[in-house]
Amino acid sequence: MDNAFTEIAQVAAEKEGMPFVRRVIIPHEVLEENVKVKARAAVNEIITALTKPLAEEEKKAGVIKQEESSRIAIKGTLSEIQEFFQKSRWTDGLPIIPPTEKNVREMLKGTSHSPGEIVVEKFLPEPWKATVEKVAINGVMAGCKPEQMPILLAMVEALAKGPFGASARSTTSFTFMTVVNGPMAAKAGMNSGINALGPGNPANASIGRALMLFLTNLGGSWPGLNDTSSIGNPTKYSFAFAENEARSPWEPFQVGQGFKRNESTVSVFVGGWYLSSPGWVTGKDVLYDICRELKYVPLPWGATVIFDPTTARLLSEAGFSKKDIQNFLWENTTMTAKEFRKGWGYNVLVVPSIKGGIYGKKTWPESYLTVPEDTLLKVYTHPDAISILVVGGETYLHYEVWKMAFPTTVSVDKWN
Amino acid sequence: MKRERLFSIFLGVFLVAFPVSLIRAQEPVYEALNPRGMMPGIKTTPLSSRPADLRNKVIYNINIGKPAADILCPELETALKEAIPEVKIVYRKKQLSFLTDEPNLWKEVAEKADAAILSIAD
Repeated sequence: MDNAFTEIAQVAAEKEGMPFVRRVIIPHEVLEENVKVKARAAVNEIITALTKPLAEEEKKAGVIKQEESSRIAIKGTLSEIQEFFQKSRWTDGLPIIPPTEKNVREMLKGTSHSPGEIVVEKFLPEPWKATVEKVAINGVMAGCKPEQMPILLAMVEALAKGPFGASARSTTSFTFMTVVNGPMAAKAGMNSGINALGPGNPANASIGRALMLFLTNLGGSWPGLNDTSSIGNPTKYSFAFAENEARSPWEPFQVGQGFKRNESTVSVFVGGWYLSSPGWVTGKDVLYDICRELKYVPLPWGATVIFDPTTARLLSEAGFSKKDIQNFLWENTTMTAKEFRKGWGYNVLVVPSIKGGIYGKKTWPESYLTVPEDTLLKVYTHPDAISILVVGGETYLHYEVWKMAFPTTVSVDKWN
Repeated sequence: MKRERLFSIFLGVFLVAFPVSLIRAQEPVYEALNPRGMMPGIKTTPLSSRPADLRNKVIYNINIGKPAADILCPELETALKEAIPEVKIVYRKKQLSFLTDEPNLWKEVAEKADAAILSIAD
């Protein structure tokens, strides 16, 4: 393995119960043009790793017990607390609201669940346990309010339930998007209208921020340690909003996920980048524009199109249901087999997912591997792989195509 | 004038003598709770015993599917055979992506290999 990943390899080895598993490190970076030389240079070390008798510590079986941390992390002034949390790697770099006993007790009033109840047995990226109180502590730090507590608990559940572990560690700088549906969105004060994906609304900002603090503190994520994001992603700071159900002509997102219209849900997606149109077109022309943009979403296992309510309404008036739009986009987002087979880590990720699925789900038909190069192929695996949301303030005929896939939806109501 | 000078001297002495810690003590002090999740105890597995040398031993050379591993693994096999001609290398490439576990492969390694190299090649 490459020396850029020494720390994450150690973390992973410990997590798997083999802290002393022997590793041979080759110099960064491993490229097709230099890998032969690096492989040869490592051979003697590999032979030693395979034959050197085991040290006593390598033979040991047992349980590594983790130190119990004290409930009170620090007693100090506001600035001392800020400094301590920053140095401890417990923040996202921004100042936090100190999670005092009083603040946390207040936050816990937002749920009927007891502070000691386990929310998830294994969070991510490290498989640590999270209680209701720990969620509340991080919620306070993020600036959340008690009425948002059920949403926070559902977010933690959704993150642990979804296929997100590898993305949280990835070099590709993936991020997570949280969408809230149902009556809880308004109760929590969330914005689904103008600039819903941007700053200004305290609920959106703090709920989105809480997700990153959850990964940091409930799952032990830290850049360079087990978050290997090479470039990073600004939406990691905060990315949560509500769907504008009141202005949408279609059923809300959670209904397509198997929930009732009046149920409150949290949906967490993974991905991270978007393409946006200047607009100015309506009807099918909008959809053809979207097809063009969907074509260039890397690793097209899934994507999300976010429509401003105006665009959605015009499409609805033109006769398109949400399902019609998903079908249209799926049918018309095509490229030749030659183009499909280039890029996106085709051999590394696309081919294996055709052969064996991804996260337990089938992807493209096996014929994609063999058809002639000029055959037109549908880029997306299924119409449902393209999620549709309606969000925004109706200032413009706008939409955004996000590389956001694998939505994982859970009920908020059970956390009330 | 004399009174003003006396007052200035008094203020200077006061500021020097007043303990910094007392000024600090006037700031509110809070107790902040620990936000960290609870790390479970980790059950450790001992490493497999090592062969004394690799002659006539079966070594699994496993490609987990990262981009450079298609080149690294064959080159490693060639180099190992040059170093130890009697070594028996079995090459396996994961059928599924590096994101997906393949328990059957690990079972095969446990049953048939004397040792294994897992090439991350990343």
